[in-house]
Amino acid sequence: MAEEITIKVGFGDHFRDLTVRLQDGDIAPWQPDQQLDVVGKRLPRLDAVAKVTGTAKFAQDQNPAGMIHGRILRSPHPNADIRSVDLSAAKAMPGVRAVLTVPEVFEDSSARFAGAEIAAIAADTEQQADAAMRAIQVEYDIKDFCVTIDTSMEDGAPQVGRGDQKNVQRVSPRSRGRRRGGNANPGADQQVLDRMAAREKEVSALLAASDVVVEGTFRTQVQTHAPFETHGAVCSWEDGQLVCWASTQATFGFRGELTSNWGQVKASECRVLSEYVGGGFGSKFSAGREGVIGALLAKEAGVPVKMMLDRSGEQTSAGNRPDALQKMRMGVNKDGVIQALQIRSWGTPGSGTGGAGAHNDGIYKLGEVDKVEYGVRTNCGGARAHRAPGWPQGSFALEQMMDMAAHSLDGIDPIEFRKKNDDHPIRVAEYDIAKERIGWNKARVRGGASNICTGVGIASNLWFSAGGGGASALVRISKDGSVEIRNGAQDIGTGTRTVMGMVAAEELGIPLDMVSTRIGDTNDPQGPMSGGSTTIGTLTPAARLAAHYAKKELLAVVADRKGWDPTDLDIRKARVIRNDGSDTGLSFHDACQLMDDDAIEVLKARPRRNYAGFSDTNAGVQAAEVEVDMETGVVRVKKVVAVADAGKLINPMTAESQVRGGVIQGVSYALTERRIMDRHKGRMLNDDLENYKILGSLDCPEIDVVLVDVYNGKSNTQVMGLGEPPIVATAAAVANAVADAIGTRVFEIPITPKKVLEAIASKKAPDPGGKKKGARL
Amino acid sequence: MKPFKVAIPKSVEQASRFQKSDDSPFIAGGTDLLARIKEYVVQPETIVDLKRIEGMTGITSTDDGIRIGALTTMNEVATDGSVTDDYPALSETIMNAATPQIRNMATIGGNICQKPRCWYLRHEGYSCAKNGGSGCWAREGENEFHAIFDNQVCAVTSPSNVAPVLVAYSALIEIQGGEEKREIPAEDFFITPDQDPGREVLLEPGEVVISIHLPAKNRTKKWSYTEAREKQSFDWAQASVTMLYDRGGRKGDHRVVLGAVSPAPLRRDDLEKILKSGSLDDAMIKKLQMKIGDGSHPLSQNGYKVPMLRGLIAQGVRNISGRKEG
Ligand SMILES: Cc1cc2nc3c(=O)[nH]c(=O)nc-3n(C[C@H](O)[C@H](O)[C@H](O)COP(=O)(O)OP(=O)(O)OC[C@H]3O[C@@H](n4cnc5c(N)ncnc54)[C@H](O)[C@@H]3O)c2cc1C
Ligand code: SF4
Repeated sequence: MAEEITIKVGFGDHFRDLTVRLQDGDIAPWQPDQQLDVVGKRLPRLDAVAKVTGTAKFAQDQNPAGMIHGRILRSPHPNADIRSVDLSAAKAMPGVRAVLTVPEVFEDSSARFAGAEIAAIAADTEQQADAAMRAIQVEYDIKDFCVTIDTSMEDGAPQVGRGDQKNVQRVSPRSRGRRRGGNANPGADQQVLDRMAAREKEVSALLAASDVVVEGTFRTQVQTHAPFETHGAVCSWEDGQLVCWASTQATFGFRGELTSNWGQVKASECRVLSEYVGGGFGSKFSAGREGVIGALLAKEAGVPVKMMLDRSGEQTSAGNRPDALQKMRMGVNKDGVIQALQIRSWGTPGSGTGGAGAHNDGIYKLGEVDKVEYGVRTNCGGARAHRAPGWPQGSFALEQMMDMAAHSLDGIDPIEFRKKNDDHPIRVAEYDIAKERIGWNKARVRGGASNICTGVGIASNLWFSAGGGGASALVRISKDGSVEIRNGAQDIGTGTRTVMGMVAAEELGIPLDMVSTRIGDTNDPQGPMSGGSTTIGTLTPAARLAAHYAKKELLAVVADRKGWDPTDLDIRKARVIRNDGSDTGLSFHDACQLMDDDAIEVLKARPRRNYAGFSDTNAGVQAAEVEVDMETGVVRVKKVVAVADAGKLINPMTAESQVRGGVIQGVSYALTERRIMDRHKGRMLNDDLENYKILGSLDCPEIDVVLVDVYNGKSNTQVMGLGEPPIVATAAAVANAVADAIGTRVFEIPITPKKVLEAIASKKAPDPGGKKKGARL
Repeated sequence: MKPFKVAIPKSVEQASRFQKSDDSPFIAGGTDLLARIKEYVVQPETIVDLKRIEGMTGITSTDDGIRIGALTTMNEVATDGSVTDDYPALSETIMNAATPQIRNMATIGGNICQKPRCWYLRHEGYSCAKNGGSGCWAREGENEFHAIFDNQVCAVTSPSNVAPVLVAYSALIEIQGGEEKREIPAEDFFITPDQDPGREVLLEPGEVVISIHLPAKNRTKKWSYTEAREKQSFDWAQASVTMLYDRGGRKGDHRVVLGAVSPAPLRRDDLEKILKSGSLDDAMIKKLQMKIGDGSHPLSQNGYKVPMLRGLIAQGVRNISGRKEG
């Protein structure tokens, strides 16, 4: 019986009515004029104290009785086939209890990057495992390699992959008729090529007809995820059941991979636990080879095995944000309206198959777009999803093009130019907030006019994170008045646990500290992976429903016992009240005592669909202010204003924290992080946290977070996630600010002192971003 | 890491003996040595812990300056009143180095004896001129942070922030091997690969740095220490310029020492001479900037260090001309 309701959607002073047909059993979203006691409050995360005092136990901290230590031997060669692996010497070493080889377990005898897994070993102590690992004898067929996008694209470059895998392959528009792993169907592919040619012609004509054409070539680097806690798990077999304490972004995904891909254990006999996770940033969806290796070694050894990666293994094999080379031409008319955009871009999935694409045409009305994108294989660790995959690199290019276009149209302010070409219902209101708070129009010494120059830059973001089906929550109210909510998903540090508890507390009418929250255990109800910033969008509607129906059951008990009308009862501030607000004289605790049974238990799944709400996407605008020492090239980001929205804000404090994290990682991407590959041996030279430079505390800017609360009507909690959106715009905003400060552009991140000095030195040389027409990309 | 034994000598004589017997490295704060052991860059059977030797910590004033025990931590040195008063560039350079945690563990002796940070040197499997092999991976490889001066044989940069400042202050390094003691001027203590590619300092087997002697402060000197690096926290200088300016001006005894651009701190008497040629104005800055790159041989990725040095020396001159005498 679908119920139709009318709700208010929008934000600030942009509200309108929306009629929604509720899905079966769903309840109406909270309304803007509704008094809420928990939701919307700034509450410290529930696990804050445990984390800062060290009582929180991460996978790395698990030491079950009898546990031994696993190690993975990795290839020192970037491109090789494994001829043989001789374990005999290693097996004879002291303390060794289990060994395996990758060719046997994974049926993969190729090592396509330095760091590829070859064999693994478990021994009583870490030192014994190290020593035994170094005693493994491997024979390789060593091949030539490519570790940079440029060398891999050269004619006659060594083949990175195997079989008929080409180094450079078009990934979009996609060839049609491609068989899995095989070549394209030539006929169907010709159709795609014909369409591409037609598109190119059409867009070239539009560019030629535009009043101004700007063009630029942009490069972004490889960024590793570098979570504090490395990948891996502690695995233990207990009575035929496999228990894994994993560092994962997907407890159920981790289990799924162990059970489906590898088939030695059933889902019902495998439990994945992950109460605390030391970061993932998109790299921890999979159990990975290390997860499978840990489980196998533990089985063979008959005792628990800790199989966590060391830092070098983490840096080389556990994923990265791929680098990108993007060439763009944008045509704009004098009125400031973008006519067309031509994009050719190349990205590296490494030796893997992960997405290498750059999302460089997703924001703004860009007119007609002609985009062709290629994946370029390299003999480096495979790319994995990395916080807003594809977006920061795309944004870095597109947003600089936006500024270059605005500058070439004499007198158009970059913010006004963006507004002209933007119709996002939320973002249009966010520009002015950013503009004011960064002091956009303040007088500054800029353009390289002095030894120290400052500049400001702006950029936008976009995300799609309302979540979807696939989560259930269990609420249990016990007779003693205690309440718990359970869901098996993990909290990767984003505050999921706290937010889930807050939603349940609000709905139950009790304070947060009366709710115990249980997460990170696949024995509990199904929960989402933490990806696409969808965790709380997916999870909270289930939490709210479970709490709602549990409360209903409790009130039914009360009504029955007291002879009251159940529809006249509610709970607020841990008191049972009537609809007119009057107190019944019963506390929540009193109500619980009326139960016959020991507990009320309600398990509820979230509706599979979201409603067509106010906006399917979250927006956001960031403005950066930088200071550049023109003499040394050192850039300091002084301030970032981050205007962000994420649907209805459950906890502004954890939301802000997400935005801060995104900005810090974004500044780090803009200024310091990059993977350095050795041309001689094809190894990563900074497979550590010393030369792989992550922004330090002294380098962090002032971060001014402004949150816009949006009632989007998409689900009963209207929540959207905020993990990824805040990193999208940061590097682009910093790059635009640097250009403003030094009077020339750095087309490549990270913007190191070296690049700033080089850009200043070549300032007199023609600006590759200048007004130009003609040349093809 | 490979398991190792720790020898704990009670005296320098004993330490010398322990080291000589099987080439066991000394360990002081361990912030450098342990990292190399963990990475299998060195695999000693035994390490010789200097920390129990008495008389090697603390800072004492003498008739002719101060004496800093080699085991004094970097933090203790940087915050000591006699250092901040009389040798402020030393305090400044230490506060620029590493992180508070490291500065609390690391000793000043370890700092000047630490091994260079070349990423080839610090990875297993790259044998080169510096570690007993031949050739240099960096010269034709990834050399963004490497040396631009004296880089023909080996292009490491001297990693120590302290070293160029000690050279500028004409410090003496007090060394003891067995019962023999000797003193070497800092300028000679730090050596370049053409002198010996395997060593960075003039220590013979068994020799321990026991203290650093800073000669009585010259009250007429103004100072500046400027450095540039990518990050403010937890990072290494890409270039630094230490300047001491004598009030004597044209007749003065000035010091200009470059750091992080060559395998040893690089004293530049040509620039010191220029400082004698006139007042500290823009024209002086121009002259120094013109000259500072002389003798450099940038590699494929580190040419930026020349303009960076030009920037740092300009800032140095401005610091000196704007700063009150210390
Ligand atoms: C992340 C990081 C950043 C850093 N940044 C900087 C920086 O910016 N600037 C900078 O200058 N340094 C920096 N350092 C290096 C740090 O300062 C050195 O590691 C430290 O000073 C070494 O001192 P230690 O007492 O720990 O030496 P140890 O590790 O104990 O020893 C280092 C070496 O010196 C030898 N040695 C030690 N004491 C003596 C002695 N008395 N006589 C003879 N030989 C001796 C040892 O045998 C060993 O070879 C950084 C280090 C790290 C880890
Ligand atoms: S710079 Fe020196 S240490 Fe580094 S590779 Fe070259 S020779 Fe070896």
